[in-house]
Amino acid sequence: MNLFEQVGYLLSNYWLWFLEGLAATIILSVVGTIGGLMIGIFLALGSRIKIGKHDKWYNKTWKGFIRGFCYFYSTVIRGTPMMVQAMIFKYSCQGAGLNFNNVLTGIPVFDGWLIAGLVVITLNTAAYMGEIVKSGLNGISKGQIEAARSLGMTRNQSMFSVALPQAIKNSIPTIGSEWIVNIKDSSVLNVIGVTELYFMSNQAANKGYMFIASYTIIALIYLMLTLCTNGILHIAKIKLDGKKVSFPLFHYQKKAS
Amino acid sequence: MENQPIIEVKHLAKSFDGTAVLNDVSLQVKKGQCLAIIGPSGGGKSTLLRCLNKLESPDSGEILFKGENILSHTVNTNHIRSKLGMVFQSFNLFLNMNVIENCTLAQIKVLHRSKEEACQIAKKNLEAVGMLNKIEARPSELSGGQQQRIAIARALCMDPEAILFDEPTSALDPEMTVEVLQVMKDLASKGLTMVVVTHEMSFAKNVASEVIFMDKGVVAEQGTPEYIFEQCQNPRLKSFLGFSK
Repeated sequence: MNLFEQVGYLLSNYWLWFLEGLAATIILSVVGTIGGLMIGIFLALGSRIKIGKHDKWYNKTWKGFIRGFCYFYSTVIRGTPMMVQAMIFKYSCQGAGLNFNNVLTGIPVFDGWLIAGLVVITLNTAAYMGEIVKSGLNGISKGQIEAARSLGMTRNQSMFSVALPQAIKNSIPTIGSEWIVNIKDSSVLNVIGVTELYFMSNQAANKGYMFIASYTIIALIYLMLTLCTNGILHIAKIKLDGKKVSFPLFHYQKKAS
Repeated sequence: MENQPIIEVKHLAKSFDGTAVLNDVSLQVKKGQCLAIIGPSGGGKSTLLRCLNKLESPDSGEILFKGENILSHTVNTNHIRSKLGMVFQSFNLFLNMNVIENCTLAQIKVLHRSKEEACQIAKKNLEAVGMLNKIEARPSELSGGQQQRIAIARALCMDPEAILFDEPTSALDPEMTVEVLQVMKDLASKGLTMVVVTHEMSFAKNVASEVIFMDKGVVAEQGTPEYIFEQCQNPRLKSFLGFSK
């Protein structure tokens, strides 16, 4: 069989596996990105906590603790590979008596290992999102906060009503590329047995020893996913700017005659 | 109590990294007064104004707002700020909101007004500054003069005791300066208490009820516009105003 026949063979026999893997990869990247952003916002806010001169000692203590934790978390998570984090997570859970084989058994795709994968990718993404939101907040002009404070709004009110919405909107392109990174990087979660796209294609490849064909299939699937994601981000950016959606790819410029 | 000043500053001092910016500044602002602060850049005008709103914290001295020292730690700063409006040189309209949301946000969050009530008050104040036809617009779609008028309306919505203007026209071209100054003139004639840091000498001369000349962190001269612009013999003031050769 040549490559095309092999691709055809794999797709006709194992299409369900690829579909299941695709579903798991999409769930991992979407939940990981959104969940990571949520936690990342709190990490960013935590690392910006102000310790006032006139705070009581116990306020200084917990504020210092939160700041230290946010810094430590972002340094450690961003400084180690997700694959290693996944392994540490899996074996610590097993050591504590939690075996993901016994969680949510009998459901296709959505099994215990996917849950474990979701936890790992969310916690991992959170560290990066924290940095993204932090730099987004740094980009907001000081005058925005001062204007809010001068109207009598508290620090939290100015943060959540004025600064944070602007910071997140400005960070949409970076958050989007983090999503694309997640689509591809979720493949390393196969090491803890998450049945995502790479894991499933690996299995299909092993069935008929059709490695190149199988990996070519998922390479194309990954490419399609990231292209779709780019499209979605493009629309989101335009909608947020309050303009009409148009696709530059499908437009052609009329030549001036 | 008619004569009790709304804002009273006593012996205020502030330094940044060892450089004294404010040095023993004392002044009073009475109800209905329009106080203009003029002087060279770096003279401490803006810092003084920002201290009044506690955007900067002074090193020593007292600021009394209706007899209450706002620098004490027991005072609710946010309550004081909601009573002392501020208008900035760079407008600082909230960029993630349209005009009406800009004007209602703090009313709802700080004064706990209902959305309908806040909208009504906002529309009333936007009409006063001539911007009622732009309530759905975003700040980025508006000219500088329009933005500054909306910033004034936003401050007015809080029913402040006084409004502090920090060089409100310094970022505007002459035409827009006129439209903003006209709004401020109207407010002054309606009896709003105002403290205006400005480089617009015509405003200080014709609208202000009192003028302060600040230089090197101290109040160098103080008096009625006639005194400051015509009678005063202070050489520094005269050279600042361009009278001396």
